[in-house]
Amino acid sequence: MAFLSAQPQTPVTPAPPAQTVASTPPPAQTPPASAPVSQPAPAPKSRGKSPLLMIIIAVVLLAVVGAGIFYISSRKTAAPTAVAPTVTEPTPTPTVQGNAGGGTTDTDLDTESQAIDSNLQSLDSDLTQVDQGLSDQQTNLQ
Amino acid sequence: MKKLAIAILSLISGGIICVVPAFAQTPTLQTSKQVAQIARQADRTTDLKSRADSEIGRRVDKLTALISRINAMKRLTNDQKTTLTTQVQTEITNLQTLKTKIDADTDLTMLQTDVKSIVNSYRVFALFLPRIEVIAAGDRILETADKASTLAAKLQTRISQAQASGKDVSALQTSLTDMQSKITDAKTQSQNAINTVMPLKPEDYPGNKGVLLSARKLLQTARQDLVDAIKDAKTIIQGLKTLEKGTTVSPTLTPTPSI
Repeated sequence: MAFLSAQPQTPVTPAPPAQTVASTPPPAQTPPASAPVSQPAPAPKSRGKSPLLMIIIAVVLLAVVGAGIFYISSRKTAAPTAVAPTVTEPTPTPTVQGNAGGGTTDTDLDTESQAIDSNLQSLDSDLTQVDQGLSDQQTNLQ
Repeated sequence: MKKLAIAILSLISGGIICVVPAFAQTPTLQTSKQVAQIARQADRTTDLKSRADSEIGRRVDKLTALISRINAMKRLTNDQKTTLTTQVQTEITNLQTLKTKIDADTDLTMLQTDVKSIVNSYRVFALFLPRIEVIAAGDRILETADKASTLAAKLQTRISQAQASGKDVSALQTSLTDMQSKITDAKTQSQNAINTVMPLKPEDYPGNKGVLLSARKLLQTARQDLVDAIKDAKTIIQGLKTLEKGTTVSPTLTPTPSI
């Protein structure tokens, strides 16, 4: 509001409209003054600007299309990767256990009784170590 | 006068020449005695340090071996293993600290005090050694008894199969029953041995040595049980083989009488 009320107070306000008219509305005023001179002047300006504008628009369009393609393609690639782990997860599950427990054939029974014999021999060694522990004597340190 | 002065001076100087070496000899004798004493102390110090290091090294080696024994046990719980390992490791650390102190000792009296502490700490070592060996042996008996139980179950299966096929298995069944009772007794004896030595403390040694000896007897009984059990098992296995031979041989022998 302050900005709007400041404009009418300034005495120089008529001057800016005059300047703005010179830049954009002049073509409207110039026809009556000098028609041949004013007509060729705006023509080259529009011709020079339009290719540049076209190029800019084209570039912007290309950029937008490119960004769109990139976004779509990235969404497509992201989606399978998100699914992939859930698909790969089941793969480690197949673990099949082999046969449980030994057999009862003569060979199996012989093998097991031999293993117990071997354990008993180790047990004899353990008991010898118990005896050694019980009869241990320390070095004379006097 | 002049001659008299010369005579007196020569007498004094002569006296000095004779007396000074006599005074000089006394300190040299004292020094050599001190040197000899210092040398004897040094020898004694070296000897004590050497024997102390040797005894500490012997104990540390055996205690380290005990830690391996504890970790190899299969029937003990992790808590029991941790308790035993911590006790042994603490003793190893104490001995190593003592060794460092003894090696640094320069005063003979201090060294003798430190060496005496090795003797005093012997009770810890003297208890740990047989105590953990008893536990290890008991653990092995339990493990062996488990294997024997598995074998007994398989023998029972085979005896039942033979019985189902019409064989006389009464003798085998009796042996198996004996085997099973021996296994059960072995487990009880070894578990009792472990339970009695587990709470023993070094400060009660050698008063608690009798408990160690009785635990040793329990282990011996358990061992004999297992020996008897495996003997039963072998008898049963042989009996089963004989029964099988009886079945398999009969068909091959049948043609012979017909000829």
